[in-house]
Amino acid sequence: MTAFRSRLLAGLRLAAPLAVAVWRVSTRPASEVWHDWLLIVSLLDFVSTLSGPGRARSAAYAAATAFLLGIYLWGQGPHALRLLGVLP
Amino acid sequence: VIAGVLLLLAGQLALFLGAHELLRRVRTGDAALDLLIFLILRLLLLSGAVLLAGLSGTLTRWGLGTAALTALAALLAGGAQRRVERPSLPRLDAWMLWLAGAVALRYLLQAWFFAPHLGDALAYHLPKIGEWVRAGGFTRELGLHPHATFPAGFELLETWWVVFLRHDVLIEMAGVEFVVLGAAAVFVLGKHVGLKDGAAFLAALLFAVSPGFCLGATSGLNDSAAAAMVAATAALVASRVSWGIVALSVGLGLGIKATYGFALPGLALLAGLSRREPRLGDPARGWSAALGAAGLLAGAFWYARNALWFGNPFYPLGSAGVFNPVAVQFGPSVRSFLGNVTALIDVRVYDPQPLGANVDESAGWGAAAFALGLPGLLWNAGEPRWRRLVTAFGVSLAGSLLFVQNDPWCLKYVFYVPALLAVAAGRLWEALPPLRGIVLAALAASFAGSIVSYDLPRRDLSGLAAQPWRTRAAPLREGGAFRGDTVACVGGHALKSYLAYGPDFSRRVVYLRPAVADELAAAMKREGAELLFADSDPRTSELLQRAIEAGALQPLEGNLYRLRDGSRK
Repeated sequence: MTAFRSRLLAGLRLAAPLAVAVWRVSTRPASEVWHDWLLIVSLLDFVSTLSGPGRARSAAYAAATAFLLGIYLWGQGPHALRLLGVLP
Repeated sequence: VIAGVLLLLAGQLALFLGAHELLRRVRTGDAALDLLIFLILRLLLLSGAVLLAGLSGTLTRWGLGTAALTALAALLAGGAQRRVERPSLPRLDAWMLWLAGAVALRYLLQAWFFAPHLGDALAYHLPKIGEWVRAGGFTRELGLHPHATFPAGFELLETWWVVFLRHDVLIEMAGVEFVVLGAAAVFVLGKHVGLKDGAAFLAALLFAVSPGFCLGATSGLNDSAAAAMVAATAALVASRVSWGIVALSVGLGLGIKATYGFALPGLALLAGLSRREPRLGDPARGWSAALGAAGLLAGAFWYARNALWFGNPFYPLGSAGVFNPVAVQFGPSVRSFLGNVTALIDVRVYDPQPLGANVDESAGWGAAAFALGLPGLLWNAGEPRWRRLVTAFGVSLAGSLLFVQNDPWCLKYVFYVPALLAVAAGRLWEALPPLRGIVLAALAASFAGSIVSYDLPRRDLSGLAAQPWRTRAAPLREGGAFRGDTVACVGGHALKSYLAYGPDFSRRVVYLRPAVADELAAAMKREGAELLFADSDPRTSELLQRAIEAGALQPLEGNLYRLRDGSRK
């Protein structure tokens, strides 16, 4: 693989998640952007590609997955708790 | 009952030994993969036994029981039991086994206490089982729902679980079988992408508790079964087992539900992308080909029957002039695809609604798939086997979303996606130990979120649990109770006619299709039915109103009516 092609692929690897992030920010209502899963995952991809293997990448994954779990539980949790009889 | 239980056990033992004998001819040497193939072979034998019994008119406790005893005697005489080897078990921590035990116990409790309750199951899937069990064989009458003619591979398993006892208390065990199959498939997929036993096992558990798949498995619907077959076929294809075994899986999958076929493009792509991988095992070619042909035959049976009866293998889809108020898309639609994709990524992946088997306006993938599976797709995404798997599942998902109508329930046809997302979560579990607390929290959330379904709320669940098992049945929501030996049914897709049979199939149900009110009363009289069970669609309501005005029918509670005394003479 030539150096140029390698740099091009690396650039595309960074550009793709950024493009998805821009698409989500520009198309989702402002009030929903902060908890848009696709935006979070694309930013995670961007950060982990940029940082490479190491603690930063692990931290990014930990933060993103914890945040996504919080988002899920925020939406589905009350329904499940109501069905279980924990919430009225 | 004791005879029924003993015959059921004999049947299970015959299936076990028979499937093991077949496995010996086609085993790969990989313990996990061989377990998956064993489960599929068992499924083939079970389906074949019920199909043959149904066709030969021996679908009774003693008919199928005699066949099971004969097969068992032959297997034992041939020494099949001596050839059963101790399986090599995965290396697992004790807490994982406890966790698996809790999940298994939960499923067994669901299977025991849940009685068929969902509208689709009661109106469309199960009435045919009522007819088959009462007739002791396959019948032309399948019920009033326009989709009663759809493939019934899953119903074959349900029939197996009811025919020996002549009671439906164990009917949901059919779905539990597919949970085991799906979990085994996820374990194989996990091992395929390099996970250790523990992480692959955890992935299997995550899939088993993904809410949509879990609640669907014990609801009488066949979507979870179809999803398990997609995951199983993916595991077989990725592992490069022989084509005969893949064909066996494809045949059984198509026989369960046509929607299984929508995922096939991705599975075909997976086969193409994996062609340079080494083949596993060296099965006897003749056996492999024969098993593949048997699986395809079992799956094709329903399509051939429809072609013979109606001139259309997919009847009623694509047939002109059929009154079918239950909208189902026939063929691809870009419009549906775009609507489905948008609904999935913008709304339903969050599971924003109370969950149930039909996952109304939700995906039902659960907390682990959402919080760990989706980001886990990206972890080491360049690893060849993982990349192939993600690409194949992506194409399968796209295929399914292209062929299903954009309605509130469309994502129940892609319950197989959490299988991949569970493996993705397993990869994170193994690669990133700091995330393990999050994985366990997500697993706990999925487990808790799939205990109670919105369509079987706690009040109804308590009601079912309080009933003795012999009489356990979902109540008629509209009120009233069935009585007498014979119930006439009239109406359409919303009529939950399975309830009329009773859990022990003791009541005869006759399906009437009168054009005018006079015909209704005459048909009831001819069939000896005093009680009428009818739904409230406009066409039926008008008919009933006329019959009531003519003095032929007397309304009772809910959707029940009585043939007036004068009309019975």
